[in-house]
Amino acid sequence: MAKTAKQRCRIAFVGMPNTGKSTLFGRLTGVRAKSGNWPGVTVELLSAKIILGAKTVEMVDLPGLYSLHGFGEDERLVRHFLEQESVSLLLVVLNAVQIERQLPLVLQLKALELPMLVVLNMADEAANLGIHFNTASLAETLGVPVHLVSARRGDGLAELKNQLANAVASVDERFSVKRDDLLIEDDRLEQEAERIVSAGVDFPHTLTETMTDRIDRVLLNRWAGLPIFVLLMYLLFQAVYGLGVPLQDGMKWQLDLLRQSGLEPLLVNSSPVLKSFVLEGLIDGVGTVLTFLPIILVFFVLMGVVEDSGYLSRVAFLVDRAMSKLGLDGRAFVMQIMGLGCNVPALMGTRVIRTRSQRLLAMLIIPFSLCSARLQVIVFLTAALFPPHLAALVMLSLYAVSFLIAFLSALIWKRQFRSNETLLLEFPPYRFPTLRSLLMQGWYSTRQFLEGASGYILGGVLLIWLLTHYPFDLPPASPGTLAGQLAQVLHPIFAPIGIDSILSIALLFGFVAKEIVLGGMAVIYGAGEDKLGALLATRLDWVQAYSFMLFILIYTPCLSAVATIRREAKSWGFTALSVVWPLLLAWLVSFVFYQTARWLQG
Amino acid sequence: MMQMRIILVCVIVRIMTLNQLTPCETATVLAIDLPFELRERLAALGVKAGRRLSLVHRLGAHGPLQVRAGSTDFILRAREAAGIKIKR
Repeated sequence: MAKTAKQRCRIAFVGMPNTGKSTLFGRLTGVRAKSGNWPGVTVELLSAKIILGAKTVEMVDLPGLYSLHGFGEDERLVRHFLEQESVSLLLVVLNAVQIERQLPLVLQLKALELPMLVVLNMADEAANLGIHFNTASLAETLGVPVHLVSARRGDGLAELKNQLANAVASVDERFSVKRDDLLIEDDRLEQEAERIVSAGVDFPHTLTETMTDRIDRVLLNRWAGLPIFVLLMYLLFQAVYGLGVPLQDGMKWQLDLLRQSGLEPLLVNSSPVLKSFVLEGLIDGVGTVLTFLPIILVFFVLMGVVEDSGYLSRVAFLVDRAMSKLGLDGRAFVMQIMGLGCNVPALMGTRVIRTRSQRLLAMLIIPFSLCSARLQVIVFLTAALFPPHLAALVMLSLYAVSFLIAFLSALIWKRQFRSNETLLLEFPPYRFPTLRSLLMQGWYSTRQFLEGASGYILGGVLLIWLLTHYPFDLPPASPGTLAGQLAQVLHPIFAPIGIDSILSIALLFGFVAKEIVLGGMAVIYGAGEDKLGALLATRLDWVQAYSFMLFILIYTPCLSAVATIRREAKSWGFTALSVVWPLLLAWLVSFVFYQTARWLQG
Repeated sequence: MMQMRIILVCVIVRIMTLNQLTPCETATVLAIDLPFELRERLAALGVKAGRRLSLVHRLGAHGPLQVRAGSTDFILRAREAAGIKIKR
């Protein structure tokens, strides 16, 4: 241990995966990190400054690690942090139920001789299982303060905050750790851990059959497990539309009100270009995207329930054998499911896969997962061009295509990404989210969606407006405009797959963010959300629309996803593959579909 | 030497591997015959020689296994389970 010069107090959160570090971090700092009942959700360092007592303290949430001496990417990251960055206090978070096996990590950390404080989290679950803690005795034998809390329910947090304030009041410097201190003998720690547990924790003789076991008997049934999973996903999407569509109608109504009684009278006397810019660019374009916000919000909240519940580990278990035939394992499938929300966190989540080649293979197929941005376009086109009784079927078929294409890609590329990765995954108990955590999750995801996409959407939509309207004396999107000329260039590529060349402009921008596509279409056709549907129905037939949707579904991941792939894979070659392969596949699939359908139609 | 010991133990107590256990059965770990990194990760989950394990559930004869060590549940594949030697 080495002292460094006087600096601001820094508290680092350390602990094993899935002990609730991020939840506790969120509770203490008010900063929401992505958390879920799935080991390894924290993959980025998150830090926040808060006032504790009379001091400003920086808090850092480190990714979970099983041992200070492990070889995983997260373990290396934490070691690197402790060596290179300095900390004033380690806040070690344990899952109280598993204290027996988590204590060796505490002892490893204690050997670093940094000031530290131990938090036994999930006190509520431990109490339910009949495990009792003598925190005074544990604190005495460990030689560090021990605190019992439930971060999820908020129990014991006020006391913890007080104790942290006291602890940092006397600490004025930061310490960093020498490499040698990080590597000490483990066996001795093991025995010490056993001694401490037997003195300070009272375990019931046999753990009773828990609620989790009872639920698992049904959900993990060899024959019923998968059908139940499909049914649950189906119900989830039904709920998304059941709850989201009425909210969406409300949003549309408000936008119309703004347009008709607010902006239109205001712009009556302004120049036609400004009027077109505001009404056709801003309101039609951005507004059309905004009306999808409620669906996205409901989707993220419900996805949050699934992630928090612990069910995803079970899904990994159920599909593992099938996935192993594709050169992957159950975790890659779970990432596909997470990718239904947004591909970016799913791509980062592949860090739990330790072998590089298998991780790359998983990253190659995740972008085929039909994310919420593409969902907007598909929901819109389906509603506009298919009768209601077919719409659900069309949606379902696109989800099926999404998974089929992903599996097909894995099959084709598995030889290039061969690995002997093993599957060893912790199974958390089922946890039911609190209302507070649900609302936080929904709010957080929606805000992130808006922050991340609003710049792209606004910029992209306005650029499309400019392209389709310049020169201003021509009719919008006519052959003489910039967009019209660009469309001529793209015509030979998109004509064989039935995509109207002017629509291809929207696709071009969809590379930046798929959220732009819908807004772009609204601008291209000069129609807001209400009229766009009817207008599209006159311009496209169902074969063209389906071909367009197939293309949207499969083609190149959006810019943020490509940037994430580049960052995670650290290879330009692989990044190029992950852009070119889907593009090729998208064109081929759309081509085969479009030409076959036309041929069948005669 | 190690080989001899294992054979000897084999004769005295009927050695089996984790993947041969039937659900709800409990056993003691004798030895773990797996690569170092995997052994480390198993140890972090509470699986090492001398510890008690129980098989909670498995999916078919060749499917993955759900194993309980103390109050920790985890899953692993039959191939890796075959490397964990146990006695009932």
